[in-house]
Amino acid sequence: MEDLSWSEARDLFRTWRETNARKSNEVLYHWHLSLNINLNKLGNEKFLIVEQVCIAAFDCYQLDVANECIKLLSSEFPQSLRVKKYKAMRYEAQEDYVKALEILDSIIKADKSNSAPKKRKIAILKAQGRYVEAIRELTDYLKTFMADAEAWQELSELYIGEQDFAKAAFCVEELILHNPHNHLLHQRYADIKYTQGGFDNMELARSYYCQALKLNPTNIRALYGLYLTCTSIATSQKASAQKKKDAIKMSEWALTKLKGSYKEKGFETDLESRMSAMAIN
Amino acid sequence: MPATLFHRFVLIIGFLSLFHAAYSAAQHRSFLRINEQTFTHLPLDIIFQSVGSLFAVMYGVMHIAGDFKEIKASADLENKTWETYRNVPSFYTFNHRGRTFSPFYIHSQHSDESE
Amino acid sequence: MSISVMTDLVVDPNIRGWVFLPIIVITFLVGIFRHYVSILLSSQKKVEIQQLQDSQIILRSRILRENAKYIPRSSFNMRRQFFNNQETGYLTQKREHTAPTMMTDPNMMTDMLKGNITNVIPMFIIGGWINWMFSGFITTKVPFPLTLRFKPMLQRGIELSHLDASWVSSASWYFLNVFGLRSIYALVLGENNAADQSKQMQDQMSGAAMAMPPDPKVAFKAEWEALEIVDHQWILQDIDNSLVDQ
Repeated sequence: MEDLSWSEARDLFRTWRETNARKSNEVLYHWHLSLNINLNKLGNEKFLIVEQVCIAAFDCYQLDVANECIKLLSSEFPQSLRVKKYKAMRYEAQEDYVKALEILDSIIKADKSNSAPKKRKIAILKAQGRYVEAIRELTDYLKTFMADAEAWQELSELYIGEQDFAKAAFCVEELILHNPHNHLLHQRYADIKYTQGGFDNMELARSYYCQALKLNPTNIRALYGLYLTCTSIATSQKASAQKKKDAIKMSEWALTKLKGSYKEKGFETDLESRMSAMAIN
Repeated sequence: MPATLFHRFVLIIGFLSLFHAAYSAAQHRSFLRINEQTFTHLPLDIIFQSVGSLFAVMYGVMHIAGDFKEIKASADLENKTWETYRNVPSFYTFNHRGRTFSPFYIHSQHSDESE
Repeated sequence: MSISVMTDLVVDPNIRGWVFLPIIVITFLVGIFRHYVSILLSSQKKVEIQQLQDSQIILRSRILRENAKYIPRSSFNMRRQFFNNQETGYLTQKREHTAPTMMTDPNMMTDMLKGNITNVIPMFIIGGWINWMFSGFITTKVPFPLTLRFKPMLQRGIELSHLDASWVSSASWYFLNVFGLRSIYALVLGENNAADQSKQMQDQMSGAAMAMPPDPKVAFKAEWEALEIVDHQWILQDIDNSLVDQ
């Protein structure tokens, strides 16, 4: 990690906040190095950064830093429920879930329409390894907060963890509806469909890999996926002759593209043999 | 393109020159009024000055205002990776293995029980 | 010849210093003051959970309608069934009427009162004061000719029938300021100002609670209709060919 001036660090923190990067260790490093001292120069972003550092401190188990941040926040916003949530999260970091739940419940009691503590409660279930209960709570939560893309995202991950791919696919569909121009979601949907297997799902996966590639031609994972789905369709017994021909054509196209992009980076690899190792039937 | 001192300088000079042109135009009008001549057009040097300083201001503003965004809707998303996209801050859990690196972390009784 | 006399009307520079500028400053400061008073008085709106759910479902069904072309037909039909099913659909369900009416809900009354306090009363008081204090001055002139129809608007408080319509009286200057300074407020008190930021912190982001009409039935009915007539076209049907052709 290189040393940055406080304004550079502030800009870096902002991009991390916007992209959801979980760079907790780096956040703490820059906090100690420069931002800590220049806190009052930060202006409007001051408390956003303090929050960010607070979460990073939980993540790295540096509770003294976290306490310092919470103190700063609660002296500025003494009544805020949002700050109260961080107090609950401190107990979470210490694995004292009973106390954390107590605080979260009191927040929910004060403001029923507040989504953040409900999400934390689900996160606690997840931390305890009670995934099935977490899924049940999350679906309950989504009955009310249906337009919460973050929650759909989390639910899809949880379902994948439980290998319930059909339901995970449903969640990703919901995410695609929210954000149809994101190539990652199309690629993810295709991944899930490919994992599910079966001829129809393969065709679906192929279409979505194509969409991901159309949105972002540099998505290598989608290229790999396209190659694998096409070879799988080509060898399938259900496919008609015409479809097989098309699939072979596409897989060749994907392979040349892949080779081209590796060559651009200066790698020479024996892709075909590696691909055959990856394929599932 | 980061805004350099040069661009700021151009912007300020441009603005000053633009105001100067406006002031000259106003003075020209009042001069005509005092001499009771009718107004036909501005002197050429004022027109040149105002157009020139307009371009200087435009140049300065373009460099200071920041970079242009791409028109394509998905352009911003192309550099995103799944790693950051799937990361949902509301559902963070903190009892991951990374925390054992913390000097403040004491191997707690919770994990002892499971052994 | 009277027109050229009018254009040569010279306004006392003291009017600029003691009428024209003070009116701008007063209206601007009053606007800022009003902004902070309204922040002080604004009550944290309690959103009912039912209301929140309703607004979210409308949001979701709207997204579904707009972006349906990105998901397979079976997935779309499944979702439409959830919203529009005759018996169990969310948008077709029967629900008893619990909309709060104006008079029965005390919260609504106080909100209205607060709106009056911050908006109407300063307008009367300051407007009256300005009228009393600065009445009868010509303050400025708009730099373009205007027809006589504008006289009552721009020359309130001055009854001179021969005065050119582009002169502005002090009372009218005040009103022009009240309406014209709005965008300046947006600039000064805009999204990034300290008051807003701290408010956002206090608000603890209670979901994307849109303003819902008190009666969701109308909105549901409209949404149901719109969703019913969506013709699902999956745009990924022919994507593989178009990709290879590129």
